Amino acid sequence: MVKTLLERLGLASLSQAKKETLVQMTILSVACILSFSVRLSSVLRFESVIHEFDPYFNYRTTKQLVEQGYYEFHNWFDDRAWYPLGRIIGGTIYPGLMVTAAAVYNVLNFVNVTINIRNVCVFLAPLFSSFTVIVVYLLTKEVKSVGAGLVAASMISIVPGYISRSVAGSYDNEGIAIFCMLFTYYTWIKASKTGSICWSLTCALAYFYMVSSWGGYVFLINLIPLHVLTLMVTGRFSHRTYVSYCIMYSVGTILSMQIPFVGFAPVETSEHMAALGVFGLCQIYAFVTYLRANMSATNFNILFRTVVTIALTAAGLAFGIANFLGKIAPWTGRFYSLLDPSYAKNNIPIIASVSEHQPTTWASFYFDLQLLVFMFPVGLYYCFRELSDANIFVILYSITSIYFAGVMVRLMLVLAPIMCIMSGIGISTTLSIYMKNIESEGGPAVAASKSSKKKASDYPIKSEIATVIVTVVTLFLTTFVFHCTWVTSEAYSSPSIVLAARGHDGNRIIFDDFRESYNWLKFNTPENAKVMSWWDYGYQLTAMANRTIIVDNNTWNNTHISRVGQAMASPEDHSYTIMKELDVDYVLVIFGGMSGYSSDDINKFLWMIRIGGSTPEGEHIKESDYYSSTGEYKVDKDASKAMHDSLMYKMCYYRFGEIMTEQGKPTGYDRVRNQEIGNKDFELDVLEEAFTSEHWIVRIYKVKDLANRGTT
Amino acid sequence: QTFQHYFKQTNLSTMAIRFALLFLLISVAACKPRTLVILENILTKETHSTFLADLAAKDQEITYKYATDSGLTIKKYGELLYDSIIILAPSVQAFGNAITPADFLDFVDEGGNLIMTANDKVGEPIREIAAEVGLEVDEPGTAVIDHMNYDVADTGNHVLIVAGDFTSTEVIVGASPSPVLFHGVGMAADSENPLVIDILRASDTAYSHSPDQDILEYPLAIGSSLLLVAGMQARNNARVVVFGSHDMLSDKLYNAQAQTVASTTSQEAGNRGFVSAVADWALKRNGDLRFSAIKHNKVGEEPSDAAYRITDDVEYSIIIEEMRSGKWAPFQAKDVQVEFVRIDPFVRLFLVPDSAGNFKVSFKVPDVYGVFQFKVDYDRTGYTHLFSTTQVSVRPFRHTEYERFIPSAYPYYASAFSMMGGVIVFSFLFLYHKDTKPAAKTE
Repeated sequence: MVKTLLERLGLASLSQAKKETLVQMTILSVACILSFSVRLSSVLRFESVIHEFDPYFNYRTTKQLVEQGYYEFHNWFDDRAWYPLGRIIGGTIYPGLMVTAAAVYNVLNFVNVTINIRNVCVFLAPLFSSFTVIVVYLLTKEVKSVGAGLVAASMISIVPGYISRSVAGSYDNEGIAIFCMLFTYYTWIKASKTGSICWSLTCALAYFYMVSSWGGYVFLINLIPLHVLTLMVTGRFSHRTYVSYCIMYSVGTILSMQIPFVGFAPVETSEHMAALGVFGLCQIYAFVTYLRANMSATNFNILFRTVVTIALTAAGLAFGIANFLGKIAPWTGRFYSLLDPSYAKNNIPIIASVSEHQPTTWASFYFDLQLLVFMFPVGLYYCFRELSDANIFVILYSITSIYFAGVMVRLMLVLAPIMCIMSGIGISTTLSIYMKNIESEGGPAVAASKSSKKKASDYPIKSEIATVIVTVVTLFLTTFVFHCTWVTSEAYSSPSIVLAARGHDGNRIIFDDFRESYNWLKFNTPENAKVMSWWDYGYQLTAMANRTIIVDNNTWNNTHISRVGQAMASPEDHSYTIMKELDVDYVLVIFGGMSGYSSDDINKFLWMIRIGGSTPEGEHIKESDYYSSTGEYKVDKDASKAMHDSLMYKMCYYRFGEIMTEQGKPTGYDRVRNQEIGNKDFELDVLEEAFTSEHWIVRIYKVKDLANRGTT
Repeated sequence: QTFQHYFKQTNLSTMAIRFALLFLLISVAACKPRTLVILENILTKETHSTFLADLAAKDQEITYKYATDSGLTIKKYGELLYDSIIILAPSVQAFGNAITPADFLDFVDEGGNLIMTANDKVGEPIREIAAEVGLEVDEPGTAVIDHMNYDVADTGNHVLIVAGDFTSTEVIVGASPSPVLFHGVGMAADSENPLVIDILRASDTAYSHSPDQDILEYPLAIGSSLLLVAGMQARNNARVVVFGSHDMLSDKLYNAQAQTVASTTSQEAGNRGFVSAVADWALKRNGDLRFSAIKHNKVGEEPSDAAYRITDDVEYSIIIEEMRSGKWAPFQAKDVQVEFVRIDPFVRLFLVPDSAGNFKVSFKVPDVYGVFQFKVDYDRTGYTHLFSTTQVSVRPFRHTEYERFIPSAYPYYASAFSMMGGVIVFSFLFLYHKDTKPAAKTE
């Protein structure tokens, strides 16, 4: 059939090589188009909006970049965020994403394709996932073969683990960072294979792009040295590796230090020390090799022993002194939690509170990767069978990333590409072995091959086994496609700013409460009003309501967040002093008890209590006070007094006791906790209700002034 | 023709001036503070004629109404009809036109001033209003009794007393008030209300009780915690004064001689001066402050909306005026401070006034970025609470504003440039060097 098609197109006369190229190009472009289009279901189902929380900040900064130019963006001091501390945007972000989007926008507008910046932002992640497809193809081709590359490319285009972070509207660093990371790996493999200065510099530039776009570059700058080190240990270290690593490291480090947010971190923090150490080791290794070539063996041994002893002592001393003087910055909390999954939970509530920092469950591995979970070891096996420099690299990449993905849910993103590459290798190799066996029945081509191979692969019903295996693999691949499509449309295409639910009659009900409330704030409150909310909603508030906020998703100041946590967890009068101190005019809470929206503030409240209690000012807030006498987290009449008195409880359940939420249940029945609230009849003293959205998801309160005539 | 033209012009301009004058007159008349005096009955005008005459001399547009008048209104179409209300009706039980105490409190909450008097027949409405501003007026039938400091003219119950324990706040009671005659009920301040001002306290020996009943229970208040005249300045700066004695304002006590039983000399009672001063304060003819023309800018530059940079030198100025006997005059206090606040004040400085009441100070912005406020929070007893915040942003250095060459970095510059030079020299040597003895190496 392919043949007839080719004939009809007049391509039959092409040579075999050209035909192959054509097929490759076709598969690759179909995969690219598929990867772009499969990510559009959120736009089709809802509209072209930015999703979630962080993307709103990125969108806002990109707008600033496009409107004000790079220098204004670079020097931008944002006085709307973190009131009254403010935030230096230029120095606290990875600007790669914004610069990329702005560049795309400017280029398109230069060629008179008038597209507005929001749409550029919305469609940037799908666009880069198409690029990722190409890079994965190139990378796998370098490691294994064209066939494996095509399979891997097709898989990465639809794998849910990657789609989860790159659907249209998910305008976040990860959207382009995966592309950058894989591109750096590709150039690194190229560089270490060829030892060419040109490829090494390309690798350094790719690394720079990666550093400018995601904090995950730390993974990269540890993996490449690890690769070099492994090569050294296994005796594969060569001049090519030396040249490529030295150039990549020195140029890449200097370039990465140009990003203000990174600054001097590459030469100061522990995370980057491995790269520096390996760089030094390279020099020593090369020098030792040089000496060995020029000296007699006995002389060399004496020299070697002395130097090694002295060097080790000196290094140990230097490290000790630097550590003592605090010159080597301690490892950051996020990094510790990578190594020890329980570290964050025990020490830093603010890290543990983020759901995407939680350890990954087995279910989510299967959910996000499906077939790849099983094909991954197959690929690994084939990689081990034919070890090469490049293979060692992907093996290291896969082993480290599978560990990290197990520690933190969101690092699934790093795992997904290598899973695709490995599975691509596995599937492609398996298929090419057994496909031959099917064919061998017809022609004597294989029989004519080497006798040793014939002997090894000579067994009865060869063709039948091959047919079964090929059929099973095909079946698995088909289910993989269905699974991916289903996951994408069901789980990862919700913008989370607009919620959807199924009604009793099966209709879709759209909850647009967030935008309704943000617009209310925008049009009904004074320009310089300060809005207090839990930090999750900070970016959305600044971007959509354009109001000053107290804390936002850039959780750089623990004490400030803790202060807000204290305000939420304290009784009204205590909260009032905190709110006055922070000049708060409005307080916003997310409440799901009416609509059944489960990620609301009452469910996040425990984190507010923990974070609020984590600083000296909040010592009086103890988590145990908020549990019922039986030690449960409840909102019904068993709930503790501290719980009933807290500002959060009062704001969420104000007037809720009058409402009938479900048939056959008493009034004030919370549909998320499935409890009837314990305190139905109370008044607010220091706040007054200003706005409650249609489904009660967003409730906004105004902070009252002091009583005009004293306390009466 | 030119003449005609000229004539027309003058005509027009004179007309314009006339109209302007007319408007000015109307507006001046309209600007006069409007005061409603609510009288108990027709007699009050007679008994308190001096007080009312003094009031009229205070440049007010006065309206008289009887307490039970069915046409009594204080608000129309949501607008207050008066700036101040004086209730000379202590024993009224219900106001006319269904005006309730809540209406008066509402009036205060919207910025109106209120003066009330009470006496031993004090009615429930007056007590209710007083209670809502933090003053508990003792029950009807009671009186302030002082067996040591009663006036010689007292009739036997020792209720006409001589009081002289004034508040030290000059702006309320005047420079040196002389002792006053008092005959009425006492009050106690709500200890939880921080806004109450004790204007006139009873002497240590006074107490509040019914004169013809045995003392079986602890009185409402005794000694200096017993208030005879008290005021309150609400948070919106509306002022309320309650005189415990209705008679205190009467012609009779205005013209009386005050002499305690203990003393031998008598002197003219200070009632008229005291009441007039307190009324001046309550009607905001004294001690009212206002600010205008807040200006802040970098030293030597015009004010602009741009954010300040850390370590900038800035100037801040504010014009503060004080109402002195009904006229706005430059304020001259030396203790007005401005704070530069970001949660905590980073800078707190005294403002220096010039003769026009323009308070000024200049300082260096701290080396801390964030959203700051210039905050003037001047809260002195008797004066309007002056509160002004101006929000400004303080940004860090731009990337071009850092020092370019710092001396301590010279060794690094030297090392960088020497390295660059070295690389060039080495490249030449490496590229153009020819090993003369290649055979020697293989040995």
